[in-house]
Amino acid sequence: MARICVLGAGVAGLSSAVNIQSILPEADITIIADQFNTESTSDGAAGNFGILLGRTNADICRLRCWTRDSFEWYHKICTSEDANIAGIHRTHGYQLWRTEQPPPFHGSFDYGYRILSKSELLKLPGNYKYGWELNTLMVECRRYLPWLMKRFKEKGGKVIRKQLKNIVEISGSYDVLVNCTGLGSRKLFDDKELVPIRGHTIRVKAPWIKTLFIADSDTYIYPGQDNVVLGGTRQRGEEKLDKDQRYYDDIMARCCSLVPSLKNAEVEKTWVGLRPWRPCVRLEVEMISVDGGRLPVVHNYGHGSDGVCISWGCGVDAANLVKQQLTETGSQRLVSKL
Amino acid sequence: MAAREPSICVLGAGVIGLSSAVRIQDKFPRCDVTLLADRFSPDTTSDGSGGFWLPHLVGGTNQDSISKWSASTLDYMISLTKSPLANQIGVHLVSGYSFFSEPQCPEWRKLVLGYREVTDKELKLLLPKAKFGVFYTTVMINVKAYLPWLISRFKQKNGKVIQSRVDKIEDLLQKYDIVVNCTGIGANKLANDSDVIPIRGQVTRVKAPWIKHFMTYEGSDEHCEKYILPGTDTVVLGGTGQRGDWNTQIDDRDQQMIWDGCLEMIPSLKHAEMIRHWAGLRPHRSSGVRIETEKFSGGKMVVHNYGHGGAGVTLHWGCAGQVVEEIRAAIKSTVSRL
Repeated sequence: MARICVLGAGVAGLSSAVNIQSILPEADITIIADQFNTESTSDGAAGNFGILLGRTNADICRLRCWTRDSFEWYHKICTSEDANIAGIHRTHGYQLWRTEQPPPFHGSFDYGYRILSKSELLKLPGNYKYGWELNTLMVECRRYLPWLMKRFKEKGGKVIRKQLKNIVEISGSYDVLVNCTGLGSRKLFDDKELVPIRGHTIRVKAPWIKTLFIADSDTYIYPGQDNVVLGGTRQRGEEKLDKDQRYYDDIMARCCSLVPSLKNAEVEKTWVGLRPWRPCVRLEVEMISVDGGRLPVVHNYGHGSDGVCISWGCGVDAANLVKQQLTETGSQRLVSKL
Repeated sequence: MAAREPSICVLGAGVIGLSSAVRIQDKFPRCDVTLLADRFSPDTTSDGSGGFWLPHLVGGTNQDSISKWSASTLDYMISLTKSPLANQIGVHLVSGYSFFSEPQCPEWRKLVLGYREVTDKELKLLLPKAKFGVFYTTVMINVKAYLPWLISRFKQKNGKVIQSRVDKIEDLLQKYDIVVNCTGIGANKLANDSDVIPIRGQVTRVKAPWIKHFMTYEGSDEHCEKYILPGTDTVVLGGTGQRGDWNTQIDDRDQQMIWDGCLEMIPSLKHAEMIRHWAGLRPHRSSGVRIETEKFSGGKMVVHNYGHGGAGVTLHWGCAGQVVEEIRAAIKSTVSRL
């Protein structure tokens, strides 16, 4: 029986683990991570399904597959009985810009987008010259991660809480590793291309807000199930995680200029986290040398701002790579016995 | 009529009465305005309604009037959504889908925001049994929060409020110069108008904060439209439309039919927490909304403003504006006759 270890229990790790279970039901799968649920970076993400090219980079063909697979999955859940338990719901609103933009990448995959007319733009807040009406989804990790974890455990998946300093600590125990450690890959796999992009969000109680707004891509209002997520910041290379009130005040001011009634909303929680950005999402196999042998590592990290959005599709891809590795390794073992 | 300012009594404290009272005060600041009713929020018909802007069940009201009054009301409601008070009044933009068993071309399509026909993809993904659908954005208001806000506005400008039952409108003319009759279904007796007949509506309110869109379905096989309207704190599920039915008790079969119909549209409603059921009587008038001045001796008058059917919230502000015009014209002609 193949022994597979998934490193990381954020949305990438859990999505990979559940997908692997689905195509390799006999495999022995363990998730090893030091951060779970509310401790993870994924938990802080708003989870808006929306991708703009140039922010998350990858081979365009692969990005299309990841986006399409992810949306199909989220849509299936959000139109099922489980929608609220899994934390996925449909959203609608407006994305506003100062200048004309190319069509949104995700627009071909979700429920659709529509370019706003000049008269509509006049009725909407701010003095924006261009914009889209969006019909999409929100995937809230506060509920989605525990929901995925429950599925994983119900099918026999194992979980170990551990902070790994080096791969050699576990490399002897598994046939394939799946690396979903986000920024953790800087140390664990010596990846110098990863750059943290710090983000701040505020979650407020504002149940009268049903419409999402995104302005200039960095100011956003996402109506979630339990609260509304306001943001944000995009601070490249910043790593300190102390909560600087100036950033939160600035976010609040920008959001209130879009929706004035937000100034009466009670603040529930502020958050700061680091997006694991990489010039190209790393979703590929690397053979590493351990104990005189070779261990396949399926990397699935560096998703930047779009980690939640493309997580399912990336998980499908990663699971296929794992299966491929086991098939190849298996046949190699067969050959070497002859 | 004496040269002093006329004293005005608005009869009825639902959305029609309160908006009339407030607009009259605004236009005639020197007049004494009294609000008289036997029932106040949260016990009026308006309080139980969905608070959803859409011209619906308006009998034979002339289309130009529907367009004029509803457009004026929508503009006003949209302006409320942009104010810092939006949360206090519970007013918000809401977008969603209306599905049908056959193609439609409603007049109100020109008035709502962003009206468009749904794509084949949306139809297939969201309600395959429907043959046609439209997507648009409108406004929803929490009537239970709105009416108290209107009353406090009224009182702040020295409006008097009296709780009392009236058997004959004409009796009030002994004390007041102008009576504005906003008695809704009560006009059947009070204005001796047998054309005012209830269209009974039953709804269920649930807690389902993950639902951000409205969704409605009108099929040829259903005897009434089914709808899901996300309000500030609760989601309104409906409905029924029983003509001539005066029963305000909850009917179990109606409840089941509403539940089944709504669950079919959004399966995750299964997990929604039940809050309360309600049944009310839409004050429908087959010849349409009555806004008309009835003159009495001594320069006294009754201005009627009733018969709004299923569109009380949708028409209220525009109709109140019309009442103000009626009063202005009547006062002018009375004065000019002196």
